[in-house]
Parts: sequence; structure tokens; C-alpha cells
Amino acid sequence: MKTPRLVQNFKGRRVVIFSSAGRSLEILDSTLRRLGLLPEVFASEPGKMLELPSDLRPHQDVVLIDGDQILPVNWPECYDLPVGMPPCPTIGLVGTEAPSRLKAMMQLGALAFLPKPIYAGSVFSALYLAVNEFNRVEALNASVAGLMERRRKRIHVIKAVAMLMRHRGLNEDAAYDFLRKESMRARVSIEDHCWILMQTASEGDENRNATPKRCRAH
Amino acid sequence: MTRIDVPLGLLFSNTGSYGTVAHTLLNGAKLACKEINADPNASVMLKPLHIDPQSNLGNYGPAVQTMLDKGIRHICGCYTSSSRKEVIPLIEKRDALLWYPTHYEGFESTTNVIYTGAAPNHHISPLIDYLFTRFGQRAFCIGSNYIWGWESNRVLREGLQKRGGEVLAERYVPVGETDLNDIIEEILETRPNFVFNALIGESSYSFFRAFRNACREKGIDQVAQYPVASCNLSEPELRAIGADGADGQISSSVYFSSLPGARNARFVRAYQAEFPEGPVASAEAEAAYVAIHMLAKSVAKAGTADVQAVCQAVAGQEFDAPQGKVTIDPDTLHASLTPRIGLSRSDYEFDLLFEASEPVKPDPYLVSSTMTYEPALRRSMLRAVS
Repeated sequence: MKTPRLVQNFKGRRVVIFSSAGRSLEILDSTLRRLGLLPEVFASEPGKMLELPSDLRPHQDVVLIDGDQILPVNWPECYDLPVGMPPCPTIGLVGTEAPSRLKAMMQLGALAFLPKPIYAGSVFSALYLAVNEFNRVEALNASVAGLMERRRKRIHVIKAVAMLMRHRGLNEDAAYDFLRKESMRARVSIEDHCWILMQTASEGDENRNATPKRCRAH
Repeated sequence: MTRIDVPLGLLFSNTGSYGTVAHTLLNGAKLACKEINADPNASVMLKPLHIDPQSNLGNYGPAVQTMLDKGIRHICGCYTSSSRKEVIPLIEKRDALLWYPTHYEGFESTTNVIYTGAAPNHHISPLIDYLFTRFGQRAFCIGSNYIWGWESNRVLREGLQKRGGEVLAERYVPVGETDLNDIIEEILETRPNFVFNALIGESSYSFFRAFRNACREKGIDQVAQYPVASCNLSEPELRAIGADGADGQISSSVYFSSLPGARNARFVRAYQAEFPEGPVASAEAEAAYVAIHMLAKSVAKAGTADVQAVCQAVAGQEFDAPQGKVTIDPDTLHASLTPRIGLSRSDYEFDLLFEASEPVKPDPYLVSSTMTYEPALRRSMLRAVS
């Protein structure tokens, strides 16, 4: 996995705050502005479940969710997120330090916590952790997705090795080595290279099969 | 006219390892107290209580506790960042106010602190531009092994990388270490365009002396070939270095006692008259002097010494300081100050090399200048395909 570069300046990011935490919000607002961020506060209605927005952007926004509110279990489906992954860096505001509230924020993908009342000196650290952890998990998810994709295509490598052994009389290692070098020259993964090779070969086979038929037809 | 009594804590270590510098802080604060109390038109009467923590971190907490127990809610003090971090929880717990008068590495925004010393965009940022354009792209960084050294060198490194320069090496030594010969040899071997020095106290003084000596032994003109630049070199420290090594050193600061103008001359004259035994006036003395005057003006404006009222009154407060106009930025509660770069002389004063045209708004988190991403390590672009 390629390690993402660390973000150390959050200037210009929007911070969407779901809380009605009184004086803590004043401190949060002034501290975030000092750090060059643009806070927007949304107070949820008491007794009602928090309605999460569907327009958050992964690298332009940060979300702060107050665990003392009634929280939904998931982000809106439109984000199409892996389990536990938020749509953008997410920080949990911890009032009641009870496992149920911490779990509710974890389920929404909180990557850092800020205890209430908010201490201005903790805000930069929480932001730093949430943003960089989000980038790391995002890169990790992309890496896992890539590996899954390669595993799915592994069958084409096996078929391509078998084909080369059959057609060129190579042993397994030599056939694999040949395919690996060819894929590196083409700058694609060995799985993709083999998939393309087998597609071409199968088209060739179809044509070969078709020709005698046509010949026979004449 | 009835004057508002303001019990004031002065928390400065005028003894111990950084006693020389902290003593100038104490002197600056004392001078301001005397001026304010002697002013018949002032509406404030300051009642200072000084406690000397003796440069011992463990003494800061009890000292502040003593002050708070005596009803003091305004404390001017601290030199090192570690001592400031030590007292802030106590200050906040009792809703008091710390007036912090020292240049520091930034990355702090505490609601119960007013910062009158220079923020990193006042000292390191202008220095990077100056060094890069005057001397070249290759730096050798040394520093004391704590937050000041680490952060100063990080900001310099990233600033140079952004401009296409490079740091040849970063070397750290424990606070108080004076054997720096290995590092000096390395500097002479790597031949940088300049040396960036973030050492403090005795380590710094020893380095200046030993480096000058090592260059001389090799027939090298240190000032011309290997200029040394610092963000924490002031007039009393030039005296601590001594005649052999004090001249020709570059310092980035918001104040030098040699600044022209009647306002500064009046300050230096009053300071010398009050403290003939020294240590001499410096940026730290001026920052403490500014802090106390800002406190008095804010109490006068608020009409009370109540901390919350003073906090509101200090936002946007201006003072005609020895360095020029100083304003407290309402967003960060840091001071807007005028960056300057000086070159030390053999008489332990500085000649001015550069001066910003106007005071610069503080940017303690370097939000305006830091790159969004931490610079990547340079890796080979070679791609081998057999």
C-alpha cells in the first residue's frame, strides 16, 4: 500500500458540526477559525434522530458529531461506503463517556474523539488524527479492493500459464516468468495482462474454429 | 481618581540555566509596573508579586498555585514552552489569565493566554526568505533536543524544500550540552551555505565560540563562509558568548535595543537607569514590558480586573511599543509585531539588515504559509524492467 502523505494544514476545509454544546461550541468555532477552517453548526432537534447530510466531500469536509445526540446507525446509502467508513474525516464529541455513545460514534466512523467541554489545545491534534487516519484508511480500503480484484482475476493467470505450457512447451516457472515480464513491459498487472491474453486467445480460437466451418460450408 | 488594584504575579526564573534571559523578562515587566504605577493619569495600580522557579519545571506549578491562592488572577511569566504547558491547566482551572511574553514555536491557541512574544511567522518565516536569497539553498540545522529545536528545524526544512533548497543534516543535542566538536566537524565537511541554530542557553553560546575557533584554525572566515542564523539570539546572550564569536551572527527578532527612534531610546534609557547591573535590554524584556502595558490598558478599558472582561478588552488593543505599534489580534490573542533581521556587532548590539514595512498579523499555526501536505521524502525515480 502506498502510504498517503500527511496533511498538516487544514486551511479552507469546511467543518460541519452537529451539536448544541453551548460554550464548547464557541471555543470550537474560534479555535477552528484560528486554524483556517470554516465551521458550520447544525443543531439537531431535541428528541429527534440526527439527519446526516448526503453532500459531504471526502477531502474538503470534516464532520464533528456530538455523541450526546440520537445518532443513526449508518451514513446515507448514497455514499456507498465500506462498513465503518465515513464519507469524510469524522470526529466524535464525547460528552457522556458511556460505551453505548462511543459505539454510536464508532459506527459512524469517528476516527478521533474530542471530550466536552472542549479544550482549545486538543482541537488541532483531533483534526490531525482524523484527517490523516481517514486518508490512511481510504488508501487501505483502495489497496484491499485492488487485492480482491487481483484475486478474482487469478484464474486468468492460471489459464495463461497452462496455455503457454501447452503451446510453447515451457514449464510452470518459465511460463509465469514470461508472463510477469510481459506484464511489466505493458505496465499492467499480471492478472490484467493474462486476462487480455486469454481474451485475445479465445477470440483467436473462435476464429480458428469458425474458419474450418466456413471452409466446410464452401 | 480611584484606581483599580490589580494583583499581578510575575513568574520568571531569574536564576538557573536560563536565568539570564528570564531575568530580562522580569526586568521588562518590572519597568512597566513602575511606569504605570508612577503615572498619575493611570487608572490602574499594579501590585506585583515575583516568584522565581529557578529554571526548575517542578517549581512552576506550586508557584502558580501560591499566586492563585493569594487571589492573583493575572500572571505574566514563563520562558520555556514546557513551563508554559505546565501552568496552563492551573490557570484555566481557576479562570486566570497568563500573559506570555516569549517568542515561541507556535501551534497553541489557549483561551486563557495572551501572547505578546513573536509567533513563528514573525521570526522563522522571514529568516528563511533572507537566508535562501542571500546565501544559498543548502542548510545545516542544529538544535537543542526539545520542542523549540524540533519545530524550528521542521519549519526551516519545509520552507527550504518549498523553495527548492535542502537541509544537509539536522543534529540535536541535549539541553545544556556544550561538547559540540563532532557536529562542528560535520558542518565543515558538508560545507553548507549557512547554519541554522536552534540551540538554547549554554549549548548555543558554546557552539558560537567553538565554531568560530574551529573555522579560524582552518583559515576559514566563519562569518563570510558559514553564516549562522538564529531566532533566539538577543543582546544579553551576545555578552554570554563573549568577544570571540559574538560578532557577525544573524538574528531574527521583532526587537533589537539598537532600533532607532525616540520611543525606543526612551525605553532603553529607562531600562538602563532602572537595571544598571543588567542584563541589558532585549526582545524578551520588550515583550514583557509590552505585556504589562497591554494588561494595564485592557483593565482600564474594561473598568475591572475581571478576567473575562479583560479578555474581551484586550482584543484589538494597541500599544506604542519600543519596536513600534503592537496590536493584539482578536482572532488568536497573539500580538501583531514587526519582523526584523539583525547582524551582531562586537559591541554586543545588532545592525539592522531587514525590517518589515509594517507589523505582521500573527499566524501561530502557520496556516498561511505551511504546505498542506508534509513534504515527501525524495526517492529515486528509477524504474527497472528486465
